Amino acid sequence: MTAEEDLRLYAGARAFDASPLPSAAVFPANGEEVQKLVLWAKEAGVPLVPVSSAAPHRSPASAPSVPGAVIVDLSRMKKIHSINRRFCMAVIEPGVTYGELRPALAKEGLTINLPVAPRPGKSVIADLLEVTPRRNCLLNWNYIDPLRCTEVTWGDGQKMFTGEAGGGAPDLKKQQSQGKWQINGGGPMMLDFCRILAGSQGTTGIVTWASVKCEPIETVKKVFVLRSQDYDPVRRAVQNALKLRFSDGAFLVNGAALYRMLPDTAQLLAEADGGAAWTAVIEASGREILPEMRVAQQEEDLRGIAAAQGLVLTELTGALGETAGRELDGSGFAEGYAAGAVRLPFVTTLGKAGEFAEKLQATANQKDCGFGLGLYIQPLHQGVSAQVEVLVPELPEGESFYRTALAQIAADGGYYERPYGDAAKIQFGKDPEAARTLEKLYDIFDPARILNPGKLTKAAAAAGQGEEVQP
Amino acid sequence: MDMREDLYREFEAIVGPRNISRDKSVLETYRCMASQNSAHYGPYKVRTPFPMAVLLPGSSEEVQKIIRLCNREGIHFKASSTFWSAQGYVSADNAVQLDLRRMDGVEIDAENGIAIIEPYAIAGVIQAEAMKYGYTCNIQGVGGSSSTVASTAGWQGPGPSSLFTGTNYDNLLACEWVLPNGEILRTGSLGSGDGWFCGEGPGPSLRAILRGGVGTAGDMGVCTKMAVKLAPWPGPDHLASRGKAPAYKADLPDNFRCYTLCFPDWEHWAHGVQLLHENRITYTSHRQFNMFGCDIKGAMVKILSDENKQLCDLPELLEDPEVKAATQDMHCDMQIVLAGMSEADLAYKEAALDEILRISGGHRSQFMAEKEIEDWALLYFIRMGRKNLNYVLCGSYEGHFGLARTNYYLAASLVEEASALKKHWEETTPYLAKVGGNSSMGGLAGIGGGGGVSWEFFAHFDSFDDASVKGVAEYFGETNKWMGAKGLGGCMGKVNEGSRRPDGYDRSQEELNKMFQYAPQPGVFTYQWKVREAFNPNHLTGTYYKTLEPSAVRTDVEGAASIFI
Repeated sequence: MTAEEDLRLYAGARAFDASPLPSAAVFPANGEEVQKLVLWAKEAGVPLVPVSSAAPHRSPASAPSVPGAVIVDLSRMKKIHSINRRFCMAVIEPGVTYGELRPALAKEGLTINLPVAPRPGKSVIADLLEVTPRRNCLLNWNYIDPLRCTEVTWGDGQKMFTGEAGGGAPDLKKQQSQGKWQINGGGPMMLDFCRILAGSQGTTGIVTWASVKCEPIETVKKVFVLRSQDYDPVRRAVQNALKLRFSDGAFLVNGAALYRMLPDTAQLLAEADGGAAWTAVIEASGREILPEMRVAQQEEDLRGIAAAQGLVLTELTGALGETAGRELDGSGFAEGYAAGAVRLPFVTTLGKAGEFAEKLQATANQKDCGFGLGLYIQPLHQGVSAQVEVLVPELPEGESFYRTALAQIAADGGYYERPYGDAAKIQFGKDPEAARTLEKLYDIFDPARILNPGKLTKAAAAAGQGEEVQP
Repeated sequence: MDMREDLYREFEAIVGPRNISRDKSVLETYRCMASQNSAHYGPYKVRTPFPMAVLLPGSSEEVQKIIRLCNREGIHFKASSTFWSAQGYVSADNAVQLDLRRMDGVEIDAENGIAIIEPYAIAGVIQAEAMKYGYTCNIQGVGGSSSTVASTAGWQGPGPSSLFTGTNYDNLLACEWVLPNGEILRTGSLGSGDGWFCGEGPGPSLRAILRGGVGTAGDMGVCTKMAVKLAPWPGPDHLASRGKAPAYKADLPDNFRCYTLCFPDWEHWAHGVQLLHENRITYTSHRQFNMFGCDIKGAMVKILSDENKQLCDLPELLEDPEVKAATQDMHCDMQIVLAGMSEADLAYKEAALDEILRISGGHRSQFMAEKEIEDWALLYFIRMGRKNLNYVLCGSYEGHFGLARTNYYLAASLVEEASALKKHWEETTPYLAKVGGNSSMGGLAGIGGGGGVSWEFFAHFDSFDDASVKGVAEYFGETNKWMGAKGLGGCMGKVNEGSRRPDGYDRSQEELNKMFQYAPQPGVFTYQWKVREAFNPNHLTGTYYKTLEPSAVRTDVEGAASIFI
C-alpha cells in the first residue's frame, strides 16, 4: 500500500505529537515473511514500524517518528493457533483482536483478563506488548501477565521463540504435539527475552505469535461501586481489599474519566446519587466452582471493608448492571474510550496517586483550561503500584496543559514506565544509566536501529550521552 | 594463588581491615565441594578453588569499588550470601570471594506491601518482619534460612506458597545491581529515584539482563538490594510455635488448616492440581513428605512430628498397620494449607476444596489430620525452616529427573515409570537409599497463580562414600537418557554439569560452544554470549551463565544435542 490517503491511517496518532507519513505499508502473512522484511530493511536501512490493530491507529507506539518508514501491518495474521482449556492457554497471532478472541475463548469456557473498555478492533498482542494494565491486578502475579511465550524476529533479523518455547524445536505444532503449551514465559535461560519485547514500542523485535494465559470464564458476576467526594477513603477501601486478595477487578476514576469510560453508567449513577468526585469500580466473579458462594463471600467482605472507610458498597443491578458490564468490556467503543483525548500514563503508588490527582487538577485550574481532566487510576501487580492515566482533551488548551503536566509529573516522582513521545526524553533524562544500558541492548537486538526508530532509541541515545533534556 | 601485597592493601582500603582476610584457614571455609548442581552431590574430594582473599563489603558503593578494581586488575570475583551451592563460590585461581553477610537490611513498606531487602536477609527473617504488618513472603523451596536476594537474582525461586504469593521471578520489583563491568544499574522506578514500587521499564525492562527463567548465578554481577512483592498474612504478628526440637508445631488460630490430599491415581491427582490452579484457594500447595520415599513417608512423618521418636524407630513404624495403610493411602498425595482472610473466606475455601475433591476423586488424609501432625506440617509449610530434613536419611541428597515443568498431566503419567527406574537402581546397586523408588516432591506451582509445577525426585546417598557418589553420578546418566528419550529435556541432576569442570574450575568457551552449538534454538545462547560481552567484557565471573559464540552455531545435524533447559 502506497496511496497517501491510505497511509494517512498510520500517521498522526496523537494530536500533540507530530508524526510523518510512512512511505508504504506491507501486510505480511506469517513469521517467515516478517523475517524476510526485517532482513531486507536491515540491508536497505529502511525503518520499519509494526502495527497490528484495526484502524484507527491511536497508540503513540504505532505511528512513525521518522520519515520514510514502512509500516509492517500484521492485521492479516489472524490465526488462533490453539486454545487449551486444560492449561488455560491460547496461542494467537498479532492480527487477532479482542473482538475475535473473546468469543473464541468463550466457546472453550475461557476468558482473558481484560483492560478497561478495550476497543473490539484492538490487537490483543499489541495491547499485551504495550503492557496495558488489566482490570484485575490480582491476576498479575507477574507484571507482564498474561503475556507468556512469543515468536519474534529481532531487529538483527534472527527469528526465535521466547520463554519455555525457546527450549524446544522452533516448531509450534511439534511442541504442542509433545504436550508443551507455551505456558512459562520466563527466559528460557538467564536472559528474559520477553521483557526485552514488552514495553519496547516495537523497537526491539516484531512478534508473530504469542501465548497468553487465560482464565475459566465467569459464570456469576457482580459490579459494585464506591463513591465519595474524597479520594482517600475510596483508595483505602480498594487497597485494603486488594491486600486481602478480594475483588476480581478494581480501579478508580474521577468524574470526567467515568463519563468517558462508562458514559451511560455515569449518567445513571449521577441520577441516582447526584454525582461524586471519585468512583471505585469493583467486580466480583464466580467461575466454575461454587460461583454464587464465592461472589456472596466477596460481597460480604467488600461491604465490610467499605464500611470501615465510611463508604457504602453499591451493587449495580438491573439495567445499570447490564450497562456497566457492557461498557466495561468495551463493546460500545469502536475507537476506544480515549478517542478525542491524549493519554498520559505514569506509574506511582495508590497512596501517592491522590496527590498527583490533586496537583494535576490544580494545574488545569490554574491554566483555566475549561475542560474536565480525566483521571483513571489502575492498581497494578497485585496492588503494589498503580498506573495513573491522565486523559487530556485534544484541544489547544489541552496541549499547553499536557506539556506542563509532563514535566510536573516527572518532577514529583511519577515514573514513566511506558514513556511515549516527550515522556521518553524526560524519563531517560532522569535515568541516564537506563539509557546507556538500553543502548547496549539495542546494539545487540537492533544494531542498525531499523525498528521504530525515533521512539525510545533517540531519547535513550541523547540521555545516554548526557545531552540536556528539554521537556 | 597469593595476592600481590599492594593489591591486597587496595582491597583492604575499600572494606576496612576487619572485613578482608587472606588467612588460609579462613579461605578454606570459602570452598565448596565442586558439585555441579546443589550443595550435596560430590565428588566430595574435589573442592572449588581457593579464593585469593575474602571480602565482606558493607554497601553497594563498596561492591562497586571492588568490582572496578577487579576489572582493572583482571581478577575474577563471585559474590554469595547464604552459600547454598557451588554456584556461590569462585571458579578460578585469581579470584576474590565476596561474602555479603554484612548487608542484611530488611525494610517493610506496609502501605504498598513491599519489602526492600539486602542480600543477607534470609527468607525467614523477611517473613518475620513482614508478619508484623500483616504480610508474608514467598519462601523459596531452598528454605527459610536462605537468602531471598540470592534466590531471586541467582536462581529460580518457586516455593510451596508460590501459587498464592507468586515466585521470586514474579515478585521482583526494582533493584540495585552492580554489573560485572562496575556500573550500577537501578531498575524500573528506582533508576529515576521515584521509589521501589516498579521493576519494569522504562520501555523494555532492563531486568531482562539480570535474570530470566532462571537467575544468573552470580555471573552477571552483584545484586545489592531489591524490592519484592509481599502477600497477605491473616495471622498473628509472629509465627507462634510450641513443642521441642525438632518437632516444633505451629500455634495458629483456626483460620489456618493444613491438609494432605490423596488421590486414587496420577490422572486424578493432576486433575486436582488443575482445579487448585484455576480456583486459587490454597495458601501453600506442595508435595513434600514423599521426598523421603513413597514406602517410608508415613513413618518418617510420625518420627519427625514426635519429639520422643528417632530414626531408629523406623523399622517398627514401618510394620505399624495404621502407618502402612496411611502410607499407601498417600501414594498420590499433596499437602495444602488453607488460610481464611475472613470467616466467609474460610468457609468458601473449605467448601470449594470439598467440591474440588469431589470432582477430582480425592480425599483428605485422616492420618495427617491428627492435631499434632497437622500443626507440625503447618509450621513446616509456612516457615520452610526444616531444610535439614532433606539430609536426614543418608547425609546427602540430590534432586533429579525434574520431571514436571508445565505439563503436569504428562509428568504425572510418567511418575511410575520414573519411579520404577529409580527403584531398580535402589534394589540392584548399593548407592541409593531403598525408599520405594518414588521420591517425587516439589511445589504445585512453578508460576504465580498456577501453570506448571516444580517437581523433582530426591536421591538419598552418602557423599562421604566414593562408591555412592560415583554410583549416583552413573544413575543420573541413566535418568538423563530416560528424560531425553521421553522428549523432556535434560535431567536436572545434570543441569549444571556444564557450568564447571569436574575439577571445580570454569569451563572454556570452546567447551561451552560444544555443549550448545546444536541447540534447537541457538539464539537462546548466542544472545546470552552477546549480553555477556556487553556487560562482562573481561569475563570475570564464571561459566554458569551459558553462552555460545555466534560463529560456533552448527546446523548440520538437527537435534544432535539435548538442551540444558
